[in-house]
Amino acid sequence: MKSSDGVLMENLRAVKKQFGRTVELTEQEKKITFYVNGHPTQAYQGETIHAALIAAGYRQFRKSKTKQPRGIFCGMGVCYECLVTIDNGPQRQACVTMVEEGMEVQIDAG
Amino acid sequence: MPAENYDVVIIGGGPSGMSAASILAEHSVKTLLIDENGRLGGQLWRGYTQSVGTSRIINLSATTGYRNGRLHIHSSACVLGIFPDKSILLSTKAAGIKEIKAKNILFATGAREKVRPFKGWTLPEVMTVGGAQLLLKNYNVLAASEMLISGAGPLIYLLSGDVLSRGGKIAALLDRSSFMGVLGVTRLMRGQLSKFGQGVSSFSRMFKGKILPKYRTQIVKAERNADLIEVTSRKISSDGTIINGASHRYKTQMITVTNGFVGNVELAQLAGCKLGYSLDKGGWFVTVDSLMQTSLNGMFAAGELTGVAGGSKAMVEGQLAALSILYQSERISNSDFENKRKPLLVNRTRYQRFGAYLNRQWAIPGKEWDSIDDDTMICRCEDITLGKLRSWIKAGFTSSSVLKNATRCGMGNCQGRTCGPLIYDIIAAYAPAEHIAPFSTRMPIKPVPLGDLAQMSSK
Repeated sequence: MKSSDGVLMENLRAVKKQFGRTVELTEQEKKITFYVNGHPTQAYQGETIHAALIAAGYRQFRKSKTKQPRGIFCGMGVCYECLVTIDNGPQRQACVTMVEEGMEVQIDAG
Repeated sequence: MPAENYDVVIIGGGPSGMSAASILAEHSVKTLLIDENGRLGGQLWRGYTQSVGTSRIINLSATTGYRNGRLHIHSSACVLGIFPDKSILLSTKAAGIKEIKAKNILFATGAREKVRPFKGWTLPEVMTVGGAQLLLKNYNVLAASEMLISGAGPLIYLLSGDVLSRGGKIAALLDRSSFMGVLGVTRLMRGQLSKFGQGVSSFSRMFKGKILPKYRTQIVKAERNADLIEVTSRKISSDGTIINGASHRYKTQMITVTNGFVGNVELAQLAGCKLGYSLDKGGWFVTVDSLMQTSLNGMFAAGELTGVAGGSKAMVEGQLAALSILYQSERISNSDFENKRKPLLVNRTRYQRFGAYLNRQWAIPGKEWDSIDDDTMICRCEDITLGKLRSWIKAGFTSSSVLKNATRCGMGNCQGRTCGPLIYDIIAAYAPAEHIAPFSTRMPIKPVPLGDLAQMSSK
């Protein structure tokens, strides 16, 4: 996929910038691996869990009180729709928690 | 556990908080800047800042106060509560829960997005425009390779331009405002060159990508259809009534939607600061005088929570608050104070006019609620529908607190931050005006894992 500005896309990530004003990729250079329900998944150091999950194509993160599927809504720490279980600990907001190498994330996407 | 002491504690490291911090740090005032996120900058600048507070616009790490250790920064930290003696309960990632004492507190807690609910807005494939923008700006991630962008305000055009420039596709761009309404925004942008420039580049990208906005159009339904989301939209008049006629259908991977912003007033409210209500300011706001002081001595507020109007107003107010604190503590002279704040106050008025226009454009007219179906979800945490809320309001439960007790709306994890502004609108639409009051706030202001609290008591 290639945009009119010449930005190449790999899945949902712009991996190379050529012309024009694009966001910096600094601090996202180092690739790490974390686990989503046991599946090894690629991420970049310095990004949030929600960015890594969305980039990997995940949409549903949890189920609501009445068992409806839910995913990222506000993306800025307000709505708590992105609660996930991290390393079997208490639930945390995926949008304000940084992803780490080897982290085990459980989402309720069933 | 001894409390840490500061002259000023700034809550929120966005444009207003960072502006205030940089002035205070230049005068070596003992200051603590607290931010919830790993990196400072707030929603506006976060993609361009480091945790120590260097951004394209403000470089906190280069200030005198930072270099001589007078400016402290706690990122990834969340304020759980504030007591009348200006002590603050802070939950930090690095050091657990700690108590802070402040001579002055500056609330710079920013704003959050508001979304006009429709059937299916709780689907995982529906995200706020701001959320999608942050993903792109901070992490270079597109929310989906193709999306439908909808709602109101300049943000939908900004996102459209950014999505196209990163190789994303736009299924449709639906704007609730009229074409004239959008023109009105550009008129008010005169004199705000950076905003105008952003607008021009967004429109040129949309033109190149052959994206033509549909005006006066509102999503009324979204449902899953195999791997895609099927969206139904209708034409809407300025008073919020749905216009009879053909509805449009789109199929896409993701919906992004925004209906403007509401100020994060909850922490200031918890501290006891007086609130006001105005459509021009985006709903509930913290009342401040020209010193940016709230109704309480030594407590200041700056930025979106004193009235939604964008980042430029937030910066100006942050600077004003810092100058007031310097003046009150006799660190600058009266003439210095007056000379510095005069131009800031002029700009503040100008930005407030811009904000008032947008807030009016964004407002959901009372009549519109009649066209929204009963089974539309309002409280996303507790799964409370509009029908349920309407029937309780009609039964006389017309204050937000009573409605909360009766239905559990606003009692979930987000503590009413998402549904609250909608519920105030719904009450305003169906009950007498004097019944409007915000949800009450209590500690902890955000959910905290029990383990963290237990750790504190064992210290």
